[in-house]
Amino acid sequence: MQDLQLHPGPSRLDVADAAPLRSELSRDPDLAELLDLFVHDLPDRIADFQAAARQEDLAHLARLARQVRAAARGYGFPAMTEPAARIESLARDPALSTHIGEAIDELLSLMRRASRVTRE
Amino acid sequence: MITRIGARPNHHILVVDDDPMILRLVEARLRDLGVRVTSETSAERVADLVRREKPDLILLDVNMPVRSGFDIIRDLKQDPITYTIPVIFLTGMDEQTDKVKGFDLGAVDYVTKPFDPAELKARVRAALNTKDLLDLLTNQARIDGLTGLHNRRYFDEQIAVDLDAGRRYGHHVGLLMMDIDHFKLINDRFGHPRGDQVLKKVAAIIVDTCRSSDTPCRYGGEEFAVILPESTPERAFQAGKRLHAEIRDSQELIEMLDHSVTVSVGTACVDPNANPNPATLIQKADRALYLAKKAGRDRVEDGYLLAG
Repeated sequence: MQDLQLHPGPSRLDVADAAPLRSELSRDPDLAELLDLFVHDLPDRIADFQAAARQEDLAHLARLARQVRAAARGYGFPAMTEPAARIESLARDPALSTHIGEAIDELLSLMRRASRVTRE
Repeated sequence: MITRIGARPNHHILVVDDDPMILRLVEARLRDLGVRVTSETSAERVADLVRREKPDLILLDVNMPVRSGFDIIRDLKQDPITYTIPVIFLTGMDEQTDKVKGFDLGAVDYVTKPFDPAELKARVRAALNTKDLLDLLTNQARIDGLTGLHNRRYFDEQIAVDLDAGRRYGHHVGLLMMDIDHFKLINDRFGHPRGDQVLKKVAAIIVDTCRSSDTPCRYGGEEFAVILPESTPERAFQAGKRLHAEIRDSQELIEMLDHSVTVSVGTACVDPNANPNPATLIQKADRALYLAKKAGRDRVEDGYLLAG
């Protein structure tokens, strides 16, 4: 397999300085509990992405990205949808998969920012 | 009777998706419809779950590992117990071929992920409305207009379903065939309107005497049949005896005709290991009914003891 040029470690974006990403639906009473669960699960999802990237497992990356793409908007994080869709698309085309690292960085950065909200 | 159409608390929706994140979201968004929502992440467990629970609607993810939503709907549509349950596919925004394939395989609609909550609820409501109307039409086509019991058409379908379930789960299936004695004389002496009253009252006694899991039917004319799933030969015979006594002792029937109404009953029961089919069971019960009549009517004969 070609080198995917993945950056599975800390994002190139300085996460520590980036503002926490709050859900657009944080005031929706129906979703309060679910948002906590979603955010609580994000570190595990980030770890899953990193592991799949390390193993260059494109099929798994596509599946993980599909899940985020399907759910993120519903949880009030529409910004995650586009990079997730890009990962899914790039992962399905080996010819383009060398560019996937940037999209993963972008998505994981957003996920890290979202995961910081409840820690504050 | 007023039939309510649309989402209501006794509607059960099963949501199948391998991602708990999506399941939780769908459940939360359907909460204010007031329906009961259950969820399943394992595609392998869906077929058994649907057979057991018979939900009113299934929301089914297309892309799942191990078994896809397409594999699952194929199984559901080939199973006589589950083939009428409507399925809405949960599919990706850009998966046009999935949408078309879903309809071809029998789905009633699709919802794209990420989904809009209002659209999801509208599509679920629409699917439940359609299901209620279809159920209503189906039931009307399978109900006897005079007695309110299931008709012969329903009997023919249900006996096959119950025998199939008996084979699958290792249960005996029983059958009662019952004829009102000298019914022609009742019509001749009291007129057909009174004869109809007798049929209705006998039907009501059958319903009151049966278990809720039994299926009482008007088999034709003055003949009735009751399918007894998960029965035994003894229980089938006892059910026949109880029914026979309840009808003979009915004060309401005695007041209608100035004498008791009596019935002849044939009972039968089949062992699932004998690979029975509907014709075998009906033949045994019918033969027992014939013997009950031949022996002088007003009695119950046990067809389980008959040879063949």
